[in-house]
Amino acid sequence: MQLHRARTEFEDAGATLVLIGQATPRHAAQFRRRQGIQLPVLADEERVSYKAAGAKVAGITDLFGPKVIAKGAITGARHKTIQSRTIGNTAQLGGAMVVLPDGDVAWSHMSKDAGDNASPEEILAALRSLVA
Amino acid sequence: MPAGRKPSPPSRADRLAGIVLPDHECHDVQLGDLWSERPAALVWLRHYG
Repeated sequence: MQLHRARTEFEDAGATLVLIGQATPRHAAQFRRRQGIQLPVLADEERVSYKAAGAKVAGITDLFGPKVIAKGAITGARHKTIQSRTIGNTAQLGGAMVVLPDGDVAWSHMSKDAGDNASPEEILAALRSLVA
Repeated sequence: MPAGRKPSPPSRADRLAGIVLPDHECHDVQLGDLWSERPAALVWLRHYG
């Protein structure tokens, strides 16, 4: 997983990196084992944090539009990954956010469709610009 | 949020700060604690996979 590989860069940028998924702690633990990652993974089965973060619930074209399918195929080929079974609400999209100690959301990228994800490099660039 | 509506991230994380979620080891984590001392990057996954 790209974020796992970039974890020391987040540490070097002085930030805490946390993943949040929409399932149970057991699913989160399985995900960590399967992906071989050491990052903390929080379990938000009720999706309360997704709602508070303003994450989008996708419509049909946000999940299966031609652009989304093409992007998924390219990403899968590039990183040699295959999406496994989705747990939770299949229409729930994710996103990323950088929060400062004073509670300000200094940067965010919430997904507009299933293929719209911020890369670790984008998140790191936002972090570095904030602490520079 | 109704399906298809644009994402609407907040400018402040006040609503997020009070949310408590279990981690992969079933330990409760209050989200506000994650950024109380240094910036936090939160990533919401679409799926575990």
